Amino acid sequence: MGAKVKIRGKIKNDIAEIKSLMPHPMETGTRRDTDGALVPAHYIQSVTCFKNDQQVLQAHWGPAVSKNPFFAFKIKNATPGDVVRVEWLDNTGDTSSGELTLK
Amino acid sequence: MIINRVPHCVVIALAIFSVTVPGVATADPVADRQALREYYSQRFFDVPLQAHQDGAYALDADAREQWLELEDFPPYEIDVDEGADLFTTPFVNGANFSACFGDGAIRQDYPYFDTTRETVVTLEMAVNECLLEHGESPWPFSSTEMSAVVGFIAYASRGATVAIATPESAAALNAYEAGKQYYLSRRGQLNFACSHCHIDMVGNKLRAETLSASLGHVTHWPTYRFKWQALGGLHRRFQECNSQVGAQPLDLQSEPYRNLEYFLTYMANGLQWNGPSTRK
Amino acid sequence: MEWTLNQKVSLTHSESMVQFMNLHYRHDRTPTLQHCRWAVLLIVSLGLSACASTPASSNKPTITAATAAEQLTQARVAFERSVELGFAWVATGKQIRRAELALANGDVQAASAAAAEALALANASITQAQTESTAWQTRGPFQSAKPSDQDP
Repeated sequence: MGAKVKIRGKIKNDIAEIKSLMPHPMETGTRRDTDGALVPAHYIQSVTCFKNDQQVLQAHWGPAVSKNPFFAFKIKNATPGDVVRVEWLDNTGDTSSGELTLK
Repeated sequence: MIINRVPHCVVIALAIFSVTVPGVATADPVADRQALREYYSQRFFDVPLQAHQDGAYALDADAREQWLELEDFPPYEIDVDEGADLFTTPFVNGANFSACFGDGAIRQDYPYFDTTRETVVTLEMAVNECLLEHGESPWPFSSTEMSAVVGFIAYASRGATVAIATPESAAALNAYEAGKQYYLSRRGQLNFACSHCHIDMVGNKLRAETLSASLGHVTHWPTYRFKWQALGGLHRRFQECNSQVGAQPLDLQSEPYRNLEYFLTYMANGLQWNGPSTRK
Repeated sequence: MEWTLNQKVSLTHSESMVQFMNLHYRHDRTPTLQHCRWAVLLIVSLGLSACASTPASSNKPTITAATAAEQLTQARVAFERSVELGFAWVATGKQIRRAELALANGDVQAASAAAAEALALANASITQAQTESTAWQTRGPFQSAKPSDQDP
């Protein structure tokens, strides 16, 4: 289980603006450490976002995304009380998520 | 330069009257700080001096906008959380950092000149001294743990006023003057002094970056630099500035860097501690 | 002297140079520009004559591993001095490492050249340290700053 996704958001005119920060090393797999050995690839491959258990977004990422990705998006027809969940899955099979109840 | 605005006769008079041998006896930190503040207020007449604690963001509107957006969810948050954890993690003897630093809102107590040891003591040094005091081994100054704890302390101390005691003893004035000398000396193959970029050319662009005023240089550290993809301390930035002009960087927390930090922090007196921050 | 297309007189090298210099005499805006042209002419001529002369041969001593190693030692000593003074340059260290590598590979010429460069850089950084021991006082808006006739 990876580090928890930090998530914040607010509703403006029926549109929820969600901001999330995902602690993750996002190693490309092409970097070498001080001993010269390759640091193995370790990056988020997919991000899925749900509003009240309904999938609203899916993103496919790769090694081009930097460490500790910051990810912001908007959801239409948001109402106070909606539960927004952001989940990620990385290339090692590890996963984590963060949840927010909109006010 | 401020000299251009002063009438010739005054310059000549000053030249005649400043025949005194330079040294500790004539070191005047109060006057130095006043002169530096006046320089920046004249150079940037529409920027309040307090604003320089935001560095280049006080001078570059576009960069400022981006930075404020970033501050909504800053990248150093992860490190500050880690620092908060480390702050309360027990040492071998059961105590933790709060035994040395209380609730952590003590950034404004550093750096200070220790008259017994006759050296400038910085926050990073104090963290290691706390560890040693409680039976732990000290952390390397470049370690993520050090940055995390210092970051947490900086975050806890946000809003405190920079108020370094005016150096008075001969040893303290020596350290202050050494820091000032370091700041004003050309170094490296590119032959630049800190003052060339941050006083003479302040506000101008160095490639794509706006040069910031030295007035607010120390307030926002440690800083998450996107270049580093990590939180780093002020001395790490000194090392980078050194290598950028072709000078061999010194060790983190080495004496010249601590003296420089002492000088710069005194110059920042009156501004607010606003770390950690984010920079490119 | 006016230049017209009808002139087909063949000129000597120096005469044509002089004619070139006088070509736009009246169009040079300041005496300085005129002087610049003469200065350029003088410098080019001197440069050409210097190239024409045969270089002194075999005045340079032959470079051996021993001489290169000696040069490297000198460079190291100077570099250490610059580190002591607090004014070491990154480039000096790089050239020293280059010389060490070349020496290890048996490339004596490259080692000697790198060591000589390292020595020059180290000496320049030492000079910087010496100048800066007083020059720093002339900088900044501080009241203690002394006006200097050197560049700031």
